[in-house]
Amino acid sequence: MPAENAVKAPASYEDPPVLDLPDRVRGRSGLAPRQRETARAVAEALFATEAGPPDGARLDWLCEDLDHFFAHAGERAKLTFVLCLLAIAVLAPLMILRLPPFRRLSRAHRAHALERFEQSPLALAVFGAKAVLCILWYEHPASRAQIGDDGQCMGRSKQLEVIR
Amino acid sequence: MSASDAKRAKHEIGETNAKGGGYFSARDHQGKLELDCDVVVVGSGASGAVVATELAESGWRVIVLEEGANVPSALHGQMRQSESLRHAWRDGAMVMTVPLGDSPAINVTMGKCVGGSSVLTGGVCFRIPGAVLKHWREELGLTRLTEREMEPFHQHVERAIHVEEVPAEMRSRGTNLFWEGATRIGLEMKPMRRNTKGCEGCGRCNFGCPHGAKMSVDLSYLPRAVEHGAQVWSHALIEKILVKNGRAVGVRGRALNREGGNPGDTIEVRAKRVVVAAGAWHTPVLLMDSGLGNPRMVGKKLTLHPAFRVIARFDEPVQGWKGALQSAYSDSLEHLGITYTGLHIPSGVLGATMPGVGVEHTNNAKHIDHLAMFGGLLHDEGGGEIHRVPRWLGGGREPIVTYRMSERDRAKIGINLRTMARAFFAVGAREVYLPVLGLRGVDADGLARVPLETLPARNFECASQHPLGSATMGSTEKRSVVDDEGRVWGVGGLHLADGSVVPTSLGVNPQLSIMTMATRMAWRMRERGVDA
Repeated sequence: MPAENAVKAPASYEDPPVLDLPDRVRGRSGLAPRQRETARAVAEALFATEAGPPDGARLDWLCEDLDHFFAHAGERAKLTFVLCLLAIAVLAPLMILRLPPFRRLSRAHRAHALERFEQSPLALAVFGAKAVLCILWYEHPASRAQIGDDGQCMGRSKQLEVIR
Repeated sequence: MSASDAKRAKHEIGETNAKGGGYFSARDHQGKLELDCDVVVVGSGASGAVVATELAESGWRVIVLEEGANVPSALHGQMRQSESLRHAWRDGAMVMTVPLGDSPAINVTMGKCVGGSSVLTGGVCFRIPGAVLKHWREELGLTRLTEREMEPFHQHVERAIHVEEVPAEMRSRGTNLFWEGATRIGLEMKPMRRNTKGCEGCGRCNFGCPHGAKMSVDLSYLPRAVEHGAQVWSHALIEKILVKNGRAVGVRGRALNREGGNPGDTIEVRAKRVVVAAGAWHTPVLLMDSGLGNPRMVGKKLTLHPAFRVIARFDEPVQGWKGALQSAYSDSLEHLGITYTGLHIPSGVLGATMPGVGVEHTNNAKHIDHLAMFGGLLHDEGGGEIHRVPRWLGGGREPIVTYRMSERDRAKIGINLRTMARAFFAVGAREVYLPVLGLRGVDADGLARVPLETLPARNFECASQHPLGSATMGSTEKRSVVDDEGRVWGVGGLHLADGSVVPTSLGVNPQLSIMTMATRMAWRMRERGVDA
């Protein structure tokens, strides 16, 4: 039976990473809805290819995984990420003379704003957000295949035992 | 599964063996948990496990308390790397220092699980360098710490964790490329030694060895301690050292992650000796919260070995994850305070270092399998300090850590990065990605134009896996926190055993050095007897 905090990958992906971790840690929160929206907006701009933005279901999965990550990684980790998102949400639009919030910008404007932000003295905020999003994004079998990673050093994606 | 892992697997969590030893989770216990023993060890990492094992094997009744979870070796292979980050690392590996002056913000990674950071290292083993011991003797008055004195302890630990040289055939292609390039520009490259047995070279040591081949202390030491009656409690956060009449008599804390999200019950362990081995980040926190140790020295003199990576893109595939994660090093620039060590990082983290957004980023990321990398760490002069934020000001149990890089260390960054880049260009790298935030890849001509020496240090990506020396060892109470056997000045029965006691940075990966010093401390305790 799936754990309460199980995260399911979209059905269209074969061999999806399984996050069915019945580790009995409840009462912990991941990201707030607004923070998830901003993270998704960053990811949609960051991982766009010549073919266009990433698949919506794939972004849904990323956000679920992100939420689970911060529900378990600790409050300090979440605070660091949220501060990075906050800087992006408020300051990145100003760098291209647009009004915040970041998530309401068009995808092209978001990409432009992030590029400018990455070149600014506050680049660490973009790097912090990008680091977590990339770790999760490029673990997915579909992304791994795109970057030539054969997954040799990846987990086997089996359902895990109880971690105690 | 290794033999020791198989042995450990027989001990289910909560199951007690014939000698009373076993692995337990504090969150499974209902009500106040009260225990009694000869020695309580706070922290189950490289030093805590060593002390616990040496004393348990001598017949002492030992209890080990660990804040993190018990993640058996068999699970490491099943976890994605990000799952390892969320379940076995402290704060998902997102711990940062606060930079002061012209310093980078440093990402400091630490383990938080049974076995501590030893579970998550590359397994690199260096002895305490002779020059460092000489400095400790001549400048700090630690006259007993000679190479001859340390020799039996080094040998003892090396046998216990199976230190061996990484064979040439196990080097990754990325490391071989750097080796060749470094040799061409005049650096001498050497094979590394690691604590492995049966390594298959799958390149994911930093996320827990999936084959139980890295002899981290959860496999090499703790099973021995448990076999001799030691109890290892996970999810047990210790918040205070109990003192009576100037002597440590136990510790108090609470269980973590209670079902339903409820706060855990109190844990209290009474002991004749208290050994703190919570790491250089948290040992001073426990001392501060308990009002113990020289207040002018506790939390001061933290060193980090700030480390910088250079990534190089080649025309042909490199697939740097195939092979041992760390297999070669160079100490040719040790006279400048720089040591080069091989490494590789997961594709996702590599992806994050690829500049650009959208099409530019994803196009750069397509070359991840064409990337090689190497790292250079600074033998730093210190500049780190651990600060406690009062709870009434919003401070939790995690400290704020500041780091002010010295001018001399700052001056090393340029030569450190240029040397690595030159080595890669010498073997045909198309471009290198320097650890400068927002900087695109540069070719050999472009390298000369990057003002590495004058850029604000905050623009550098910098990482550390080696926090040391926040409660240092010394010859006088005025200038240190512990004596040369790890005994806290002025408090009977209280010992520190971890990296916090290391008096200066080492210039090399510290795991073996920490374990060696902990062994020496345990043997001295044993000689003096539990009631001394």
